Amino acid sequence: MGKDKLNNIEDFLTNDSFICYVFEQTSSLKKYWDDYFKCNPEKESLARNARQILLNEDDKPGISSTEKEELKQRILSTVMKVNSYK
Amino acid sequence: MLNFLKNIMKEQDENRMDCISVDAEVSQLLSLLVSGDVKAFSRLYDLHVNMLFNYGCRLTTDKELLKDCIHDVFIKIFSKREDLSEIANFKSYLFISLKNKLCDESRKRINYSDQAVEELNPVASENVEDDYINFEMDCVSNEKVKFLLNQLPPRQKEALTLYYIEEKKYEDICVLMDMNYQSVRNLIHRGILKLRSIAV
Repeated sequence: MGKDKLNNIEDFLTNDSFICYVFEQTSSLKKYWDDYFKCNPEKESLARNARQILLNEDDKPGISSTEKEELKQRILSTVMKVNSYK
Repeated sequence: MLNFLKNIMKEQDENRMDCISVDAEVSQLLSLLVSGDVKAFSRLYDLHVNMLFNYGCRLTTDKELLKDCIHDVFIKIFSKREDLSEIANFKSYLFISLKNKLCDESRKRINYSDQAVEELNPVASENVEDDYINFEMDCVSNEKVKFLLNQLPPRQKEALTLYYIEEKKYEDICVLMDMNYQSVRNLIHRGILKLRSIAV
């Protein structure tokens, strides 16, 4: 899992296990990450920031509603195409 | 004062209720999606696109690439909708899918960025795996050429490299290697004969 490589926010943001931990908190994930932070207390603030980003807590609108709608129409039209081939 | 506190507590309760009801809504939408409900699909998009976009912005500055990847993630969700019930947590699934897609795509774009325009294949390939195998074979054969060239005497190697790899004309090679035309031709000819004998 390469948890020794967790040196910046992006490392946490792209770590599958960490992503699951933020959203699921199953007992094995919780134990794994609790142990990790016990051994690496200096990583806790990085992890906290990464967690906020994953949970979208700063909630800044990164995408405009027009862009959102355009992307949605693009996705829906691809879905229609894929469906009609079947 | 008491009312103020009560209001705060009420708000907190409502927030908690919001969280619970969103989760419940998502699982309801997912079960509707399994049967191909496009409205449910579109609602799932509305609920998650902001967080995916904000997350993606941390991993790339290329917004168009990010949008393409979000598009692909949702297309995958729709086409694999029958398997969605096996996903333990929809949000983890979304984030990990987007992250993988972004990594794949940006790796692809970095690898190809050195390519000359005429070498680019304008039509998207049907088979990524074939592309990758071809790419690997090119690398292997380049390595092989390098290995064979290294077996040649230095002057032959230099002449062949200039002629075949750097695609220089005989006249230029004459100047570069300070030799006359016939000698360069002979050198290259001997080099090729030698290459043939070691390549077999």
